[in-house]
Amino acid sequence: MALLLDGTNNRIQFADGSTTDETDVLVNITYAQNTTRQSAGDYNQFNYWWEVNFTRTRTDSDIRVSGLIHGQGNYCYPYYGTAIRLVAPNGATYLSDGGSHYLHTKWSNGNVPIWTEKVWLASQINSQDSGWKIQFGWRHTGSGTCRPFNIINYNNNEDGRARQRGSSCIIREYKQ
Amino acid sequence: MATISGTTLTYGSGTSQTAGGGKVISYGYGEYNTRTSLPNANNYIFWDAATINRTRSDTDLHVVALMPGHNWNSFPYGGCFVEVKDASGNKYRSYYGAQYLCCGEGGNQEIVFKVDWTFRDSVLNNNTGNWTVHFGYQSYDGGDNKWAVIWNPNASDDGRGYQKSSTCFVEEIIYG
Repeated sequence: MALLLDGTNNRIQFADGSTTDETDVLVNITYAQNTTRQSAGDYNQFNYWWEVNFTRTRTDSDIRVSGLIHGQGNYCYPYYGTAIRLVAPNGATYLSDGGSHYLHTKWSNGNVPIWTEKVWLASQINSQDSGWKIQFGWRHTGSGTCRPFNIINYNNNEDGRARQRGSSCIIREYKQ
Repeated sequence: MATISGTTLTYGSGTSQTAGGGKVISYGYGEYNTRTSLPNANNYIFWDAATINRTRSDTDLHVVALMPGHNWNSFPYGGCFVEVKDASGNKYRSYYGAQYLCCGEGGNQEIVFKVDWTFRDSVLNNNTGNWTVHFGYQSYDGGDNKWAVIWNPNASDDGRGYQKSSTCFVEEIIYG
């Protein structure tokens, strides 16, 4: 079979019969990791311990954030105060309490992972492209302060057997 | 200048389009943020989570979800599932890839329910169009159970926290 430039259907059919019909809707991926041990702060208004820069390549795309944060040492629980915040180039912010959840154990010095799985649809955010940020943090209702755990990215200071732990996130940009 | 090499078309800008696998070609997203008391039940769907337009008859559907709960009830239980359904009502249920974990400290603590499962094209029918994603629970022995007392906890469950929500991302994939 010859190479076919199919202008009617806007596709190319290759000699092996495959085509360019299917366009990848995943248009960009950013990955970041943080492996610095630090103490978790007590926050009232939303505040963050980690901010990741990424490039939004389109003005009309959806943004998906996935993450795994390594925490240690119970503090506030069950709490339900962890959150994530998207920041646009013009400073507009989009806070989400949903899509961020953690689990502590019955051991006061145990592991406390936070999972993140959240999508901001293009209709929920502004139409700027280029430099955006995602922030990982928490907040507290009323006037008090709190934190979900004591240490972020713990190491052998917390358990002599421990290697340096690290947190990671993937930011995916989709358009369909 | 655009060039064609093998099954890859590379545009003058440097972007390219390739026939074949390794692509996400469609996706859907759902989020639910209402605090809900789950019933003791059997064969019960608690969330109709997302809709995706399956564009091809031979693709896989990959589901990722993060759902918060509060106050343990049944564990380890092993009855939670993820299910996809086509527009004709044909259902495909998986007890694999859908797992929750209770805080072991006791009742009135947090629970995390995570899903990461791919329904391979080999187990699905060839129907395209809208498919929906659902989460539920059914026991092996026919008894009534639930994975949490409260789904999507809020400040009613811990006065320091906020309304949590569940998220579900489903993507149509041609694996490479």
